[in-house]
Amino acid sequence: MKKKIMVIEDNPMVVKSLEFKLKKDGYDVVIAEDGRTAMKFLAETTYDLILTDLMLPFVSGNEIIEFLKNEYPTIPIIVLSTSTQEDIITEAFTMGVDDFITKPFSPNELSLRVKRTLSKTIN
Amino acid sequence: MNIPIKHILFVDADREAHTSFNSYFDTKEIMVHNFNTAMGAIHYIKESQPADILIIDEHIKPMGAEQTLNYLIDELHFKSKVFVCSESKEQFETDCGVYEVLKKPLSEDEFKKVANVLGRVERDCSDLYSLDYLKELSGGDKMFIAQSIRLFVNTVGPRIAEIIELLHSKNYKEISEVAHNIKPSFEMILNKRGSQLCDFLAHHAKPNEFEYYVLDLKEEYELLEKQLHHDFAHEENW
Repeated sequence: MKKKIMVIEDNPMVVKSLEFKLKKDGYDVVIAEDGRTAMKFLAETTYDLILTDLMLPFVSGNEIIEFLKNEYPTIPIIVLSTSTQEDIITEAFTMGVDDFITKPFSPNELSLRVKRTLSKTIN
Repeated sequence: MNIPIKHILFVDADREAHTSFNSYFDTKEIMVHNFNTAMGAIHYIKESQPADILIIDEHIKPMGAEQTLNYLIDELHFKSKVFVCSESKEQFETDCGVYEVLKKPLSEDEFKKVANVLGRVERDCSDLYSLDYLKELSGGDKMFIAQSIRLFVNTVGPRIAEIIELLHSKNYKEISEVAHNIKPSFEMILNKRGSQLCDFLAHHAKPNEFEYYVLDLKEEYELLEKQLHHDFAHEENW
């Protein structure tokens, strides 16, 4: 059965690229363009992995991470961000995310990190 | 912080000329590269480094402006705007062309001539964008690439218009947020200038700097849009 990944991202080009790459890698991909939509989707079905941006409309990425850690603590989270600032990356890891990828992502790196995070969760 | 800049090569042995020229031009958006002899400038141009304007002293060592310009144009195919600094001539002629003169000692009036030209320096369209990243991502899928380019135009254009509106209301916080959001779009088509401008607007710009960089971003987008339309309008998925 295909692993289900939710992408929370509001840049249409990044969304298209992530969807293309992840589907090519064999995953089911669901797109949420903002935090509210993500929360709605989470209430409807379960996900094996969440890929989320940090700067999002309505609900920030950090708030989503906090929500996920409280409500769905077993779902692994990978942050996707244009930021390379150390304090932002450190804060994300402190909140318990599993990985941090900078945009625009390297396609091969994305594949490897998604695969690694999913296999860690299974183990 | 690297922000987009235009490059002036200033080739003159006179240190005072360097000082006054640099104090007028060396700002965040203009980089002056100083050379005491022609050899430094030749070496710089040989390495294909950016040069929007070349300003060269008539008597520069070792071979003077005339021979230096002939070499640059004949051998290195140098095409940027040239000024020659001279104490006596009104214009400067070589086998390769006629050049505008800046009167020595250099004054603010002469600097303004350079500034006027600099404002009109056209962007080199050859490095506006590249499809390398999209090709790598999609394994060369032509439909995906064409759709992505169309998506760039359809989604970034309205956001640039939004930024212009926000500029009118001096809403700098939201300008920063929109710039942050569209930055990856420029990066995915490897447009460095757009990406740098977005980064600057998102994280570094002071209130008095927003207008200049927003207009620069708009200009960059319009160039890109025109070029993409030219290159992709015939595609099936455009």
